[in-house]
Amino acid sequence: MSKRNLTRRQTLATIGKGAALAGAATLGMPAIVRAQSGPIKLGFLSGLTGLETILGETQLNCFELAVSQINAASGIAGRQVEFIVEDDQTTTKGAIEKARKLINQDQVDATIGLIASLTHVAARSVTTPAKKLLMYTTYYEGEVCERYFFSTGQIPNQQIDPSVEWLTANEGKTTYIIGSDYVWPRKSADAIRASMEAKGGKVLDAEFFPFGTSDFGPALDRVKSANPDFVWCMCAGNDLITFLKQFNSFGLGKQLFSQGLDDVFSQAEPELTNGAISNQAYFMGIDSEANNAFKKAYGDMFGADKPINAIGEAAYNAVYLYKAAVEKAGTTETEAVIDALGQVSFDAPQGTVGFAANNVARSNSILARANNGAWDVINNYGQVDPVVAGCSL
Amino acid sequence: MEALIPFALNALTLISILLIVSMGMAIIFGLMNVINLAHGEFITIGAFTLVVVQTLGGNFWLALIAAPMVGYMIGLVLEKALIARIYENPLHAILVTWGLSLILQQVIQLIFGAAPQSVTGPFPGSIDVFGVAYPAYRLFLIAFALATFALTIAVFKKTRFGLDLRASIQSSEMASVMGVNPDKINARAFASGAALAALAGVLLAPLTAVTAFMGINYLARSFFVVLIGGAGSISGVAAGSGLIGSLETALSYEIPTTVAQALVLALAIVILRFRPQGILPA
Repeated sequence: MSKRNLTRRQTLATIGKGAALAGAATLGMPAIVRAQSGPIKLGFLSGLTGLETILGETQLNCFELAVSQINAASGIAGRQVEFIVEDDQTTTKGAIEKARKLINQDQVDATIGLIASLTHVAARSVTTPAKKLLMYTTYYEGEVCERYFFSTGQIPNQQIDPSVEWLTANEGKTTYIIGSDYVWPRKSADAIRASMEAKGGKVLDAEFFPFGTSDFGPALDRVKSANPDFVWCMCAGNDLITFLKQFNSFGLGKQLFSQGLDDVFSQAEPELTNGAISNQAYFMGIDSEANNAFKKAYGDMFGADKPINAIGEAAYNAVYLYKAAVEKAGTTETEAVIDALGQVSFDAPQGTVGFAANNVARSNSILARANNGAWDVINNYGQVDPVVAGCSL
Repeated sequence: MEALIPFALNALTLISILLIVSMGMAIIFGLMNVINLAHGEFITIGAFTLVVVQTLGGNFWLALIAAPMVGYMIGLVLEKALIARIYENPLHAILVTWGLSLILQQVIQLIFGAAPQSVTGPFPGSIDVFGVAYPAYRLFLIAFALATFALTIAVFKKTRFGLDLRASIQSSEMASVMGVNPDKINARAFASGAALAALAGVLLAPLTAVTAFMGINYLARSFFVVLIGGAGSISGVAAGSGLIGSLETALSYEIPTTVAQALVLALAIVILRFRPQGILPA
């Protein structure tokens, strides 16, 4: 983790020099004015170790790509961007401690990242009371309505509802949910139940397993007895790989759906994911000029064989949306940036994205089937407006 | 009756997983009294041996032979360099092995990257067991774990090495008076524990995500298995994994798995309260 564009020593040196130079010139100005020169500081906080290791690296790479492109093109409003990377270890404790560090010690202008929903809950408990901007880049259970929290990934009405519509029409009316035991699978299961019932379908049962579960045998035995039309998996990160291995070995002959599957998983395990269906805002197969340029830049920086997923693309988008908002607001002052975030848009690899009034990004909904590591589009629902009940900020 | 077969096989699978990951722990912690927090990483090393062997074009069976050797060599080196200096002080052992585990995790991640490694296990299909199709690999795992257990027992009960080890644990001084070299015995015992853990890594790899951090999942549970079964006796591991594995599987059919795991651990604490020596003490 030391080969970032900025070491701690360099930061201290830069801050020291900056302070010495700026000190005389700006003495007596309010702190807020003093902060509007020199580099902009972003915090990247995510699960680089622990359960979500498989996804954290790609997310960090996409974030770094955006920052390096922005810096190469004269920065944000002429100011260079520096960033500090922190690992929440996919734990509540880690997310709280590292969010505190980024805000209090590093004094970042905004924090971007996070994967597992338990970490966005934890990080928000720090950033929202402190009135600091947090941008979450993973698809999640939605239901958050806070002024200081923005998300660039899908929420249930953009991801689950369109999927259920297709699945109930084409695979059958019953499903069996197996997920990890935390907030994302549990709340998403509620959304799936509501959505299935609205389409005349039924969730036969939902089971949740602790992180690091080594044996899904008993659960798969129960799936077999229940005999659903398709299996819905919401195991997170590395546990999803464990589930796929065991699901395939039991050979139940059931269609698998998991909105956690993406290009990172399908390229890591092409055989295990083959035939599974997912719904994401971004797949590498999207054929557009913006996406081809994005993939090329990513390949040049990190290696052409490295996969990109929706979480990574959403992190890339978040940096650019932040840039647009700062430039529109003319300041990095949080309240002004938040006001501006609602008005800006970015021509992302997935298409033009921007925030709705509930601080969730309008994003694509693409239903696709894994085919030897790539994804064949079944149905592209296009861009869907996010719906968070009773939320208008 | 038919519903009982998958249940029994699932229970046996979990028992076998616990058995195979705990045997190395039974030697290093149970017999030698070294609190080894790097046990999980020895399992990881075994799984990554499979990754390397398969990347180089070898197959699963080659890795099954290579991994214990790799584990043994690494165990031998670590024992000489670190562990031999801390037998007297359990607190030092905790700190040293904890640090070791962090270093091993990061080194493995630096070499292989963060993404889970792809491995191929043998026996992809299912086998009919009394009319119920069950994954063939799981049946192999059950048989192999039991065979390894029997072999380990035999080594400890019937060979000169086993006798020397038990003697030097009972009284290191008396054993050395009788011509046993305790340093050598300790090194070989520690290395054997590491070798068994590495073997477990290969066996688990086709069932689970192979990452630098995979070992963490097994550390706490193998401690529990050894404590419940009875530290100081290899056969205690069978009792410990049998109890925890069958209870957890049985409960998971009735109540949520998270609750089942918590209940089993709570029960384990109750058992230790009334039988501090474990179920089958030495």
